[in-house]
Amino acid sequence: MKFKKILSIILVLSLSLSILAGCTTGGKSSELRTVSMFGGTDPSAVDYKAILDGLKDQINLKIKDESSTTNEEWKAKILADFASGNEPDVIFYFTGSEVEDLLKENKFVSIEEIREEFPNYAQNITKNAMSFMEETDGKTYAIPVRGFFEGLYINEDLFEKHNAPLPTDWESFIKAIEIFAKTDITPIAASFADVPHYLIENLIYSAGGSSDHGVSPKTIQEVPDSWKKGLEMFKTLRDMGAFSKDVAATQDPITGNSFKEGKSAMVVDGSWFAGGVPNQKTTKLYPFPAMNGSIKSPTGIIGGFSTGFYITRKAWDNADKREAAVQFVTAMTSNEAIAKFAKVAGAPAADIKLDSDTSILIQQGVELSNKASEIVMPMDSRLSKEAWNSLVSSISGVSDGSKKIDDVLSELVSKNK
Amino acid sequence: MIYKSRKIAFAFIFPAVFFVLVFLYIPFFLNIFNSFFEIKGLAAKPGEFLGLSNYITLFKDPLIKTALYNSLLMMVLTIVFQVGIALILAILVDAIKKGANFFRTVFFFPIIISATAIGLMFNLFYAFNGGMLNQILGAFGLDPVLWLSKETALTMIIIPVVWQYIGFYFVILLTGLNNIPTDVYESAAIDGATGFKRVFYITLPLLSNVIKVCVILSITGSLKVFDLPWIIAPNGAPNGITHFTGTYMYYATFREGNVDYGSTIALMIVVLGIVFSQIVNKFLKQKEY
Repeated sequence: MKFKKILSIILVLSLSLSILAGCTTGGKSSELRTVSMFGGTDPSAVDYKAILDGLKDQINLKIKDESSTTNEEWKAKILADFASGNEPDVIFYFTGSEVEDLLKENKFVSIEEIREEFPNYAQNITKNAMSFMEETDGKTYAIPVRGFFEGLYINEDLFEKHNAPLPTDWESFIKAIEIFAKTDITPIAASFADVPHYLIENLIYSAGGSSDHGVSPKTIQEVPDSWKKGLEMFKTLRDMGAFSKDVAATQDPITGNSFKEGKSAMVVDGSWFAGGVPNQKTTKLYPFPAMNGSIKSPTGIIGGFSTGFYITRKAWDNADKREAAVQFVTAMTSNEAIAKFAKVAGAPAADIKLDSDTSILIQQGVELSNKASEIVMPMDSRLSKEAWNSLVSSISGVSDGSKKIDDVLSELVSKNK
Repeated sequence: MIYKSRKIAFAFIFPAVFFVLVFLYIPFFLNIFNSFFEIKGLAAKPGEFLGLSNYITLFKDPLIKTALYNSLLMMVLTIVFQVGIALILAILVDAIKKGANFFRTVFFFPIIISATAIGLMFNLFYAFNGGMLNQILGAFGLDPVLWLSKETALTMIIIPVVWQYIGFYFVILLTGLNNIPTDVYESAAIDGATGFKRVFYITLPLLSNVIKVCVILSITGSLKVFDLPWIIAPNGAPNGITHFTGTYMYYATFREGNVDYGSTIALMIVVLGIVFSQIVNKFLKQKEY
């Protein structure tokens, strides 16, 4: 009986303590709380950790890093932390619509303000990279380290084997699809149920160029005709046999593997895809071709810089943390650090030479970005999340003709608030 | 009365009540509140007052109709097949003398495997190119089948969901069977009742309360089913036709960032769960033996 009493008291105490454990406030003055998306399986996680370890001796404060791979749940946690005043001191996060509300609430410090006290802050970042960071209020808050690019990856050995023309323009792209459609090779690896995002972006860009691609329509009259033309291409291509039969239900990892294993000839994807491609020598990267009659520049690509290091207002206003936060971001955005971040998944944000162990496809992508006559940001950086997702989820229906494109665009406009 | 003072009892109850309040009741009432305000994005503050707008949208939204139809179908199929098969298996295992433990473990096993692993496994079964089912068909010289087509996708998703939870109800029903006194069967045997008569006139009536619990659990479970369908066919693939109420709520909240509408769907799931449980309670009244 006595034992039971003691046990119950221990249980009740532990429950009560766990209540108190949840009542901690975010971060002590003696520690610098940092958050990034270079955690878990991110290809830069190892390099980030190495830079972090090196920094620990240089910064007076103890660094408490809470990095994780990014997904919608992670973003929700970050936003919830900001909403409850539990934000970190430094964060590597997205720009544009993702931080619109946080900027309105003055949660970050602008680079202009930081440079008043630390004039050399982020001076190594190229003007081009910084231009992508500019927010709607005309100020910049985040320091980029690597950019991204989207393009048409091809298995060149399959093109040679089947005598298919390389997809340098629209005619050869279509011709190649026709040739592969007659074989057991899937012409374009795609999953409409999971990640049709890059195909949507590139088909609309291919149909109307950067000016049409760059609009964020609020009324149906503002929707460019090229959007309709780009979306119509989903059905045209599907009817041609450009995609696998299970395109409406299969998933991105499966289609990605199909390309990597040489079972698909082409895939439209981003710079994050490059590092995982095993056949780096036989895989080539091309700008997505412009449709016939389109004003899209042949070398134009979708890409840019959409993530960067922010210093939060909370850390800046704390005299103990201000300098440490600046030191942290400066180290993470140094030329050496940028070279490490860029080598696995994107174009460097500083004018530097890439590391010798940078993957071949990343090097191709960086070259593609350097040669690009224009680099346009993705549509989802302008459209509201709800509008963009309504478009994404309609692609299966558009491609099999069960959804009218006019209805899809009307829904998109109604949700683009 | 173990404790002379009630204060001590309250002190012991408080932590549990606190957790239930913080993690269940407060979020539930906040969820109702959220459904009346515009909330665009997770962790965004409630904006404009929408009134009943989300509830009106609920009646007009074609995807919620699909999700409701699929969930109701899932409900019927889980009651018939999940509870039905579990009942048959439980009766059979209860009747054997040797190897009962083996079957108990085998049938319960799918429950302990994570839904993510099962979902990925079935993805590999259903894959059109190189999937296990199509490889088997290929070995017999047959053409590959598009398992997740518009016509078959729903069935292909329901099969693993039903399969995974059979073991759960099997264990509940088997425990119920073990609680039936053996002297009832012995008396019945003396009166000449064997085989089917034994099952229909003794086992099933004495097990009716347990079956009722299983039916209620399967109803509420099918309304909030999420993990397996989402992994096998994310975003209601293909063409949004395989959405269930649980997956559609997740889609609206996390994919679209339409938190207010997601809250409305969540409330609808709770209301439907209560309504259906009450209906079952009415039709299958608790019996005292």
